[in-house]
Amino acid sequence: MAPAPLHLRLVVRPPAGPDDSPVSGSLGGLEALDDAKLVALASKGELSAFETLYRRYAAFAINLAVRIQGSGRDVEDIVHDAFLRAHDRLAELRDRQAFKGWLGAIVVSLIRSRLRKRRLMGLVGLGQNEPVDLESIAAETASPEARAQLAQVYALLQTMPADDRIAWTLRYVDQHRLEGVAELTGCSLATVKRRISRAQRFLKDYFVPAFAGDPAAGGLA
Amino acid sequence: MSKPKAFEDQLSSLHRAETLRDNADKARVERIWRRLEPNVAVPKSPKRSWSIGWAPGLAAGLVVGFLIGHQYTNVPEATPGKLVAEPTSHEPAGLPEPRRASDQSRTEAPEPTKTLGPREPTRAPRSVPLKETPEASVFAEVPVIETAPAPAGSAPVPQPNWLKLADRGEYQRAYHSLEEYGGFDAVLSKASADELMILADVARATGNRGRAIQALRRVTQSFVSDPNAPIAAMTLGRMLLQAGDSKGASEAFSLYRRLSPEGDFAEDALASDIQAAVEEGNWDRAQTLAKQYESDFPDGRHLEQIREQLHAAQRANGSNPEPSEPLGEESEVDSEAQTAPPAESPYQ
Repeated sequence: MAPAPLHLRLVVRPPAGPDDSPVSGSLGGLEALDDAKLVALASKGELSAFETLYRRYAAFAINLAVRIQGSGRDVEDIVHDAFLRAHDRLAELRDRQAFKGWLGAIVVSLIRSRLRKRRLMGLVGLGQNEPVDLESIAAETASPEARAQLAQVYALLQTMPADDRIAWTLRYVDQHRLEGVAELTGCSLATVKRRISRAQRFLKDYFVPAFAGDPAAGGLA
Repeated sequence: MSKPKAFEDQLSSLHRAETLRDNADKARVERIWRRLEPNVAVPKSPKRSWSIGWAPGLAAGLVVGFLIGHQYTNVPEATPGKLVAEPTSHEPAGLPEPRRASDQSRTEAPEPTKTLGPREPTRAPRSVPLKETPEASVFAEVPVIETAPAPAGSAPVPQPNWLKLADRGEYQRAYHSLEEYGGFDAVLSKASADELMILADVARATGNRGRAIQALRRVTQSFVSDPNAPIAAMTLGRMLLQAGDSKGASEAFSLYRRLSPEGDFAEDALASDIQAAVEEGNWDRAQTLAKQYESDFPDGRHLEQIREQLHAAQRANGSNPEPSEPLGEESEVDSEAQTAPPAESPYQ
């Protein structure tokens, strides 16, 4: 007898390490629960379960927002709104274990709206592109050369359509796998590949490479 | 004189831990939570609040609308404007983005510019030179390297109407336009690999799943050395798995793994192949592939679900096949695993 058809279940492990998940004194043993159980509890109104989810993924959401936007502007508003939207729609989450990807998709969606709106405003002369906030992107420990590269890449990203920009940033800056990018952006893999490919070609055309060993290359930041 | 580093080499330094800043300091996390907590702690009573709240909301909306309308109607003279199209068009959400014949599907290993034949559109120069962007000042001193001009003498051949429409995301019209060229099958038989991928998009977007499978299958059969073939195989496998053709799906996933063993989807193709083998009832193959998965991807993202799947298959099968070590080891099975929806694209 053939085995009954089964479906794969996505398993997302929570981030490890004390720095990734700040511990709140009032969360009891909830930190040990996986996302699915926390989502189940939170959707029944258990605030501490939602707080645990928040603390588990706040860093992910904040860094995701900053790196896609290229600045830390309004990032707290974005993350706040993303978690609020997630909270209000917890019941709609089919695969509760996939909370992280789902939350990320909400963050991406919020930023995408902002980027498109900003671009549209720019087109009608009511706004302009936000300058790259290098201090929010580059670590203090980043080499001058790396900072210069980040500045250049983000300056070029500013000129791209929001979708291409987001897909490329997720893939090459935030280092998501293609499937992760597809999930975060709500697109098919083929679409994501096309967007990344288009952005990559543009960047390759306009990126001015530093010269290996050239001290001037390190002094551009 | 030193050579410039390749673009890809330079990119590799961008995502090092010491390069990117961690913006999630504890104070910020706490600050957001303090704002968030009162909003999520309030018990929801949507019906009551809606029934009471709609009236002032409607009134406020009317007032705002009136004020905005009033403001605009009082503008003495409309300023002449010019509508400028964006360089890249994007279709509304929900529809696949138009595929361009010039697009390369592979991003993991950027290759030299591919010659695509007469239909490849010439890349238009950027309308905004780099130096004009304010952000570009950070690298204003970097020497500008001229890119090679496009090869001359290749007169563009007009695209077929269906390709133009597909390029604009008008898939329904593109599908109907195929009739101008003898119908889907006629176009299919003459299409290049790039066109077949677009044809598959058109078919999928218009709900013609069978046609899409036809186009993708042709890519994997007639253009197996084309760069589109791996992604076509992967997409084909997924479509066939959804359609219940486990055997065909398994073949497609195997093809992907042969064509692109180090590709982005190699791990997912193997995991999907296992799923297809289980659904097909091919127990031996499922176990063999599962062992291969564990060997190739010892820390694989699908390892746990594969174990669960094999255990569940054993139970459903009612048999007790030779337990495979260590895949056969007991693992905690979440009760939701039995009712979980079909695999979504795994997220790292």
